[in-house]
Amino acid sequence: MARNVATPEPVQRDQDSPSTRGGKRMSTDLQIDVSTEQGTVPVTVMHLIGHIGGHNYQQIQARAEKAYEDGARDLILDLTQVTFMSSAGVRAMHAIYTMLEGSTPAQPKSNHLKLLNPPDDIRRLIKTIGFSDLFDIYTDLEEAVASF
Amino acid sequence: VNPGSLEVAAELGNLAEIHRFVRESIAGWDLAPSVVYDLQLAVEEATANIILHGYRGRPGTIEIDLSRQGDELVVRLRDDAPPFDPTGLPPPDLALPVEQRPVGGIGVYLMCQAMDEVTHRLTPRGGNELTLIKKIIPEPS
Repeated sequence: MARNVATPEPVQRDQDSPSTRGGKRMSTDLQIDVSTEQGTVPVTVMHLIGHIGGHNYQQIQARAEKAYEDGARDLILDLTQVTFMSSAGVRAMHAIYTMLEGSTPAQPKSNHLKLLNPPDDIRRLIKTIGFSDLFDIYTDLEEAVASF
Repeated sequence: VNPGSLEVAAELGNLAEIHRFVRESIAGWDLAPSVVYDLQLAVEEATANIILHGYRGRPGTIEIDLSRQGDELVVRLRDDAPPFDPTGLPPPDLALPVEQRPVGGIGVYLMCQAMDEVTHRLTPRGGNELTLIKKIIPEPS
């Protein structure tokens, strides 16, 4: 599987000093790295690293919109390294879903946006709001790419 | 345990500072990770709701007290926005197709789901006080 790692977006930092506890990031920063995987179709993977909250979720939407303008039509949100996500992250997912599927999709299940490896608490949040019926969730990147 | 307190301007940019305040206040309390996540989630949803739907862009402040009382975590949030009781909102209809779901109403629902008890009262000065209570599950040793 070919993989091209794009130049990372500049990371917007807040005033939190980077720190770790138990090997996990403890800051409220969000870093977004983007790569392209070649499956049956090219798949854009947004690797979200850190904290997703009301102060920074729009970075995700903006980066997805840029990818869309650059031709991306199938997208995976890699949540493996997300340390916290509130409903702001849900709002970002919803906006990306609408961008990729259109405002009146033929079927609710997303064909063009899939999730990779949400940590347990975030998986619980996604289930609580009913989004687990909307997005396929994978634990293996290669399998996720092959699903498009 | 005496409460930690924070007063911040009601701006989305301060949600990160509020998150850090909660994290530092509970450091050393040996809470299960799921309890920490639920507490952080509820505080963020509550404060974002005050900023977006209470003050609606007008300047104001949010006061936060966080304490441990027996086997409960207690958070009190006070603001001077127009009186509004979020606990009276109906839960979102999760059966609706996603394009018809009011995503903005999800935050209050998540806040209530994450906490064991959420109550609202008017303050003597005419603002709002929201109390969030979470039962403590000790971290397995």
